[in-house]
Amino acid sequence: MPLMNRSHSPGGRLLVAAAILALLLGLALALLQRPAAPPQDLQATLLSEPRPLAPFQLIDHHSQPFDNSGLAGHWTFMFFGYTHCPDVCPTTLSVLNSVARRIGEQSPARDARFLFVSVDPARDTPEQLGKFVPFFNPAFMGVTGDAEAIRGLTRQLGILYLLGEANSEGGYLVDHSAAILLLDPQGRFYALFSPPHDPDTMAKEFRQMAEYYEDSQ
Amino acid sequence: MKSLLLMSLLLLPLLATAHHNAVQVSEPWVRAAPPTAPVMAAYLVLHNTDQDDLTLVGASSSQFSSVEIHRTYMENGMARMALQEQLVIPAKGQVKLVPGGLHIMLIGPHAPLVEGAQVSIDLLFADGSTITVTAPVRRADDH
Repeated sequence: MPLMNRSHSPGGRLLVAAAILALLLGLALALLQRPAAPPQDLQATLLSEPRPLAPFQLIDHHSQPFDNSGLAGHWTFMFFGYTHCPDVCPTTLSVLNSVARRIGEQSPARDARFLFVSVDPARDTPEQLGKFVPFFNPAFMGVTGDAEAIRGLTRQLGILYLLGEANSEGGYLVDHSAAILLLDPQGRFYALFSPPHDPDTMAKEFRQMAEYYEDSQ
Repeated sequence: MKSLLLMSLLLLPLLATAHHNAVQVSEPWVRAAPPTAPVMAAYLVLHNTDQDDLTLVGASSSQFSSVEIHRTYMENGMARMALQEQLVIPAKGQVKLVPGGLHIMLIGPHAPLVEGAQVSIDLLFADGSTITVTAPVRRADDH
């Protein structure tokens, strides 16, 4: 057969060698460009696909509009709670302050912002949030809005909350999810940290997820 | 008979005192909160050196409008709180009130309480005795 005859000649051998080399080079290039593996064995829950958020309109504790654009260009840790909360919310904000400090000590120290979103907008006005949230860390931001807007955001993030019955003084408790959410620099829901929350673990896993994110870009 | 009865009656207050002394409190603290915070939380460890269970039935503080004992728990993915009408401290045992669990809810401070301030809390027991705890206001230890 003509092909076999050609392979026995020196020119033919060179051609086969070149073809094999090209194939190997192609394979090598493909392997090098293979996406990095996601971090394994995390206590955090990494979403299999980051989830973009539908547009939302809220207001921050400076009474400035807060929307999706406020999530772009940096990582965001988001926690939902209320200022009349004695235990879980101050505890979690205290943990988040510890996380913020640890991230600030990492190399590189990535831009991570911290948001406290109220599930009790009736009592948590921007002024009330402004007196509450920065106490835990001056850079932390409180966010509130009308009840419908808050619901629109919590629904997308799997966050649940329930306003309790008012007592004789008009006070009430609020049940709420205690998960801390992580949003990526594109403002997408990226991961969540379920309680109990340990700042060392959270800061370490944040770095692993951020590195994975950066390698995937 | 009469003198025996009289003696028993005289001894009763001593018995109440014995229970009162049986409860020891350690590591009391109030988590520092923003000056305008409407509620604060106190945590501590209650030790019962008695051979009978002792029951905490309430608390009060002149520095707050009202004081309640609550337990934080998780249900259906949400953090919830349940009012504890009573808290049993087992004989020769202890009960820990810590963040994320049992806590003393201090409602409506009469004045802002800053780091370093002292909060005085009266703990009321089923036998009618009370003990007064002095808890410093401070931030959590950084872990």
